[in-house]
This record gives sequence, C-alpha cells and structure tokens, in this order.
Amino acid sequence: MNQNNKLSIEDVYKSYGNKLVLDNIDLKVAAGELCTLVGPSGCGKSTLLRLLLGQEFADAGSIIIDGAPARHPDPHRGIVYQKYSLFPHMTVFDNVMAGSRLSKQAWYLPWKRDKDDEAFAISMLERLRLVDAMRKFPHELSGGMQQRVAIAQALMSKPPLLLMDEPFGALDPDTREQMQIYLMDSPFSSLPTIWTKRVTSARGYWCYHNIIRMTVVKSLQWPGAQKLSAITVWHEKHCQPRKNLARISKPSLNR
Amino acid sequence: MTANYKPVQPARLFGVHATPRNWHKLVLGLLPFILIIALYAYASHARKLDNPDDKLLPGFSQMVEAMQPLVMQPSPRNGQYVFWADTLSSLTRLALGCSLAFVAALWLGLNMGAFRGLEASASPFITFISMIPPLALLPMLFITLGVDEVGKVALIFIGTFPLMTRDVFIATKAIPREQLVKTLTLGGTQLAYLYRIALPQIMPRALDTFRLSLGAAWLFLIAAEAIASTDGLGYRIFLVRRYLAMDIIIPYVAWITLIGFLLDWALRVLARRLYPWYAGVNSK
Repeated sequence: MNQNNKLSIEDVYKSYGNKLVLDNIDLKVAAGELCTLVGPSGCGKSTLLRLLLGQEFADAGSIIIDGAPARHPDPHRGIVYQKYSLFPHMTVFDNVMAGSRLSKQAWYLPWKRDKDDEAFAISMLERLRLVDAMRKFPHELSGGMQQRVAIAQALMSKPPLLLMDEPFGALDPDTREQMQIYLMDSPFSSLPTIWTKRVTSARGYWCYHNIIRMTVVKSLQWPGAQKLSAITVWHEKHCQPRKNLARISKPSLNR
Repeated sequence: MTANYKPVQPARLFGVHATPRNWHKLVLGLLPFILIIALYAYASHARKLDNPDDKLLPGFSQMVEAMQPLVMQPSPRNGQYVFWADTLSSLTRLALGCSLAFVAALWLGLNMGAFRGLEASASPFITFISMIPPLALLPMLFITLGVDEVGKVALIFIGTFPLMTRDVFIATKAIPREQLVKTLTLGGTQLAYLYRIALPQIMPRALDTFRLSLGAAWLFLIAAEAIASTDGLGYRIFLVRRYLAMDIIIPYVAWITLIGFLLDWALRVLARRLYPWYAGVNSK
C-alpha cells in the first residue's frame, strides 16, 4: 500500500437488499488532493461518503484512512453536511470552537478558555468575513454564511480527511465560487478533501484535482441498460474551466 | 393626471387580514374577564334579592369577609395562617413531585433517545405504564406509602413521569443523526454528545412539556389532598364543601388558578431567557 495515500478504498461493495449500490469501488486519495464525486442522484455518492464516515460499513472490501481501517465516526475525518452541520444552540463562535472544546476538555466541566485556539478560530472567521456574526446563532445567518461557519468548524480540528456532502448545493453561484476560492486558498489546502455534488457535469465546479464521476450501477432496470463502469477518475487536465467561468482567476493548484 | 388615491388602511379587528393594535389586544383580552365578573356580580345580586341567606353565589364582600380570618389571622388551633399554610404545603408537594418527575424523565428520556439498546428495553414498558390511570393507583399508594407526604408526592410523580419521559425521548430521537456524527468527528465522546449537544437542544422542549404537565400535576395534587390530608388547598376546598362555603371555595379556586397561571408564565419567560435560539429555530 502506498503510504502517501491518506485514503485508500479497495474493492468496496455495498448493497441494500437486492440493490447493489457500490460495485467494486477503488479510489486512492493522496495528501493535498481534492477529489470530487460527481454523479446523478442514486448513484451512491452519499453511500460512499457514509462508508467513509463509518456510519455504515461495506459488505466487502477495505477502506483505509490514514493507515487505519474506517470505524465509527471519529476525528480522523471531518464532515460538512448540506444541512444540520451546525449546533443550533451554540453561537457561531462556539460552533467553531466546538472541535477544540469537545476534543480537549472534559464534557462534565464548563468550557475553559483556550487562547491559542480562540485566536485561530477568530482568524479563520476573519478570513471568512464572519467576525461580525460571531455572537449570532446559526438560524440568524443566511445559508451561505451557515455553510462558511460549518467549513470553519470542520477545519478547526484539522482532520486528516475532510468530507463534504454537497456543501455548496444550496448556495447561489457567486457564493459557491467564493467558497471554492476560499477552500483552495485556505491554510488547509494540504488536506485531502472529498465532496459530492448532485450534478452530472463538472461545470461550475472548477476547483478540484480529481473529479470522480459515478454512474448508477444496476439500478437502471430497463432492457438494454448498459452496465457502466462504476467509477472513473477524471484528472484535472480533462476538465478545463468553461468559458463562462473565465472571469474567475484560477488559483494555482500545484503548490 | 393620476387619481388621488387614499393610502390603504389595514383592517384592525375584523377579517383574516386584521392586525389589531396593542391596546386593542389589551382591551379584547380583558373583555372576557370583565364580562364573567360582571355576570357573576349580577347573578349574585339577583339571588340575594330573592333570598338574603343564599349560599350558592356569595357576593365579593362576603368572600372577603370569609377569607379574612384564613388569610390574616392565625388559627386558634395551631397558630398558623390557614390560607398561607395550605398554599405552602400544596406547593411543596407539587414542586417535589413535579421536579423529581422532570429530572427522572429528562435523564431516562435522553438516554433512551440516544442509546438504541436502552430504547429497545425501556420504550415499550414506558408506553405501557403511561396507560395506567394514575388515580387508580392512589389507593395502592396510600396503602403502601402511607397517607403522609410520600404518597401524594408519589402520585404526582407517577402521574407526570411517563408522559414527560416519552416526550423527552421523542425530542432526543428527533435530533438529526448528523449532529451525532458531527460531535464524534470533532472529537467529542458519546457522553459529550448526550450532555453538551443533545441535552441543551431538548431542554426548551422539555420545559414546555414540564409546563403542560403541571396541569395534570394539579389534578393529582387536589385529588390526593381531597382523599387523605390535614392541610393543603385541595383539602380545604373539600373540607368546607360540607358547609356549602362557596365564599371560601371560590377564592381558593381563583387562587389555585392564579398560581398555575403565574407558574406557567414564569416557566415560559425562563425558557426564553435561557434558550434564546429556540424560538428562532422553531419559526423556520
């Protein structure tokens, strides 16, 4: 096994009842690599993500994260959901600090202040232009702001692998672009990242190293439906930004 | 030339578009109270004209007269102010029974909602015992626990505990699974999820349930006091019933209602203060 791989998925199968959702999936993600799963709904993107999270387990095959098999959810991976990522009873600042507090402090004591982590959280909120909203509760923020907070919250604990399930699905195109620029630009761009999108083309999502195109496996039952290859890795050179995105300066991907 | 239209005036009182002003709301809110008091005063007066010794609808001055010794003068028998002693002992029983039930329900419901194993074992049982009519247990409680405080507190506990447990359990289960995964990936333990993430999220809902359970708790309190007691608001009402003392019963009932109303209001204010995010989350 290549030690450089933060994540390696080998021969993974998963089925629900008679329906085979993941058919022999292989995927390697190296440190610093950004990987996008793209496919129509029902093709198993979210299932794969749940397997990576340890919410469910594969029928066969192995999922190795950072050298250890994926078990129940733990700090080896961070997750950003489309919804419900934030704790509704905490302010923005407390949400971002949650990782530091939950992992370093005992649950039965009042949270103590941690100067370093608080400074780091505030610097991150500054970059995301959220400092003014620091004392607000999530429900007082717009969808885009909530998603920014959720990303800051996940980045705070510096997970070896950051998973994002349609993180920008609910955002308008401008905000979506800004978020992607931020992610590429963030001090954490060395993190391997996987995110899933519910689109079939790569249009509009230009900050990736790999796009993994997933297709529906065996759920198309009409006669003559072809069994397509389950997973394809599209390298970046195959997915040049489209014309209508040329106005965005493309950040360097090779640092 | 454009026509000179008048600005649109919103409807104030009638129809589905009405937006009453604040003083409208105040007057309209007080109206039923004033009406019922006026109606009572009129009926009482009418009966008095017919029969000066009427006991059924005593006038307000009669009630004040009858309540005076209970509120203001120590009882010659034991030196206590009867009205205040009744209030204190009733409220003590209510507070003890309700808060014990609340704490127990909160803990059990939370654990049932978070741990599937415990849910499998406890949920059918709680659902089953919540069907027992608590008043049917009253004789058993008095036989086994005695007719002192313990029996009454136990009745209030048994009467309110299953329902609160089920509600807390449902609220805990309704927390999105994402929140648990989030907690664990951020480095929290299972107990951290339970007490730092799940508990604060269900607390406002649990306080609502507690508020609604107070109504049932009053019922059990009055019932227990009516059957076997030596003091308490319910005891007094049932005691003076023998003398048709409506001039004491009516003020007592009004007092119980007022306490219930104030408790309800205080709990609502407390929940709003402690959990300012709750109203916003719910309105979405």
